[in-house]
Amino acid sequence: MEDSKIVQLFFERNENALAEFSRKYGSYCEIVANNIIRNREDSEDCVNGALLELWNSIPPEKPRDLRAFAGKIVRGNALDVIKKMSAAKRGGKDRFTEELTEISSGYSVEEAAERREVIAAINDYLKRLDSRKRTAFVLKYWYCCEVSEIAGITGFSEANVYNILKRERKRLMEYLRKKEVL
Amino acid sequence: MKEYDFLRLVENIDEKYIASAGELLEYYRRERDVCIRVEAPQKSTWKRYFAPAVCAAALLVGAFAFILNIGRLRSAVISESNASYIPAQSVPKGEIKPLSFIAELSGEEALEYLKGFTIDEIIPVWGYDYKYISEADSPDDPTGAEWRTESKAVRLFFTRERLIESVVIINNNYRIFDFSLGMKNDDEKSTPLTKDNSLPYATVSVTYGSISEMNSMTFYLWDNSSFCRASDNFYVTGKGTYILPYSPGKSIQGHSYSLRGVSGFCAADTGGEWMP
Repeated sequence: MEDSKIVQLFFERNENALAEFSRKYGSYCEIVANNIIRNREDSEDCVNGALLELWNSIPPEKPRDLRAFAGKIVRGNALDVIKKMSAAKRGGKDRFTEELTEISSGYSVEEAAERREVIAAINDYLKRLDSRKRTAFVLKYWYCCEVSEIAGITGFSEANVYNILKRERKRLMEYLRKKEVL
Repeated sequence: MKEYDFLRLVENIDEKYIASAGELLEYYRRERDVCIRVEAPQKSTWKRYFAPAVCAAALLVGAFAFILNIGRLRSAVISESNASYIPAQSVPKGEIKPLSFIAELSGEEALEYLKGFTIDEIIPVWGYDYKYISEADSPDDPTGAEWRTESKAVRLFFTRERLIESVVIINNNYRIFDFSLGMKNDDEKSTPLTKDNSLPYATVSVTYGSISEMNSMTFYLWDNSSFCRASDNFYVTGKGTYILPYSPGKSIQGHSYSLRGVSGFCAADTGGEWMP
């Protein structure tokens, strides 16, 4: 079923909307959640939570791209789960705690991510990247894929993927600082 | 800044980047899962198939011996009736390497390398169905390799730009088709395989020559370990651009064809990988 028809079902408050959505994007949502959480049960909970959120947000929202819209909700929930897990462990080594860059934001990260000029600058930077490098970047920092998988998808060697990610991440932070948005 | 913070920072990137990368990821996982599902039963149930496999192997050996005898008779008839026929050369030269190795060689080196093998040695590695291979030689183009059967010859041209051209020659007259494959490469300029990198397919262009006598054509992909079919047989009706399904991580390595009832496989390495 086309996205516009699924969205229409949401607007009509028809429960088939969730069934149709799950049929089309269920496995995608699970991939997004499981890539971050790495636990099947927690990922399923996360996707179920996202379905409820989707139901509550459409309407009034009318997503242009249903896949990306749902992906964002699932990803946000999955990162929250990870944060809660980290807080519960305290001191243990968790996922995503590696120090990536010495550049820190003047705002809190959550605030920065919501700021329009930051979003515009990041998109501007991504737009300038070669499409394969951009795909590698998004797969790593949006979808949290493993380097080996990114290599399989983009056709770069693993070493190349590693170098590209390191370089582009650094350049992006420098670009944001130069634009004075961080 | 920790990785978690960085992930948060990029969460609101343009949806079109999220959607296109997501599509690729989902496609990749689906393809990978299909491969795993197909392989899994073979590992766990091999014992069940052992006895039938032994019987089938015995039958095959018998059938193969029978075919071999017919082949010898036929070769004898051909060599008597056709003086220009060149029998298969057999100069062992170690292990046959994948096509990707050939693509890394210069034209002369490729020729020299190919000279050393018979088709029987190449078939298990490259997986095509020639009956004979001649000594590789192409006097009018030093970078080409020519393989000959009784009724046709196929020339492969290895060029510096990594564009491959092949010409099928029937009865020593240039005929039928000539096509080129282009692939985008990080280091070199060549014809991009896709018109638009965001489109989930690749195109192959038949650039010139008459292909009215071609019955079917199938493209093959190489994933660093084996060939697989790029698509079901499809009919090529003339000059133009034909669409192949998108296969990330693989490269186009050859095509099979059927011409006037003669079928064959032409191997060609484009030296690049499929672009997303």
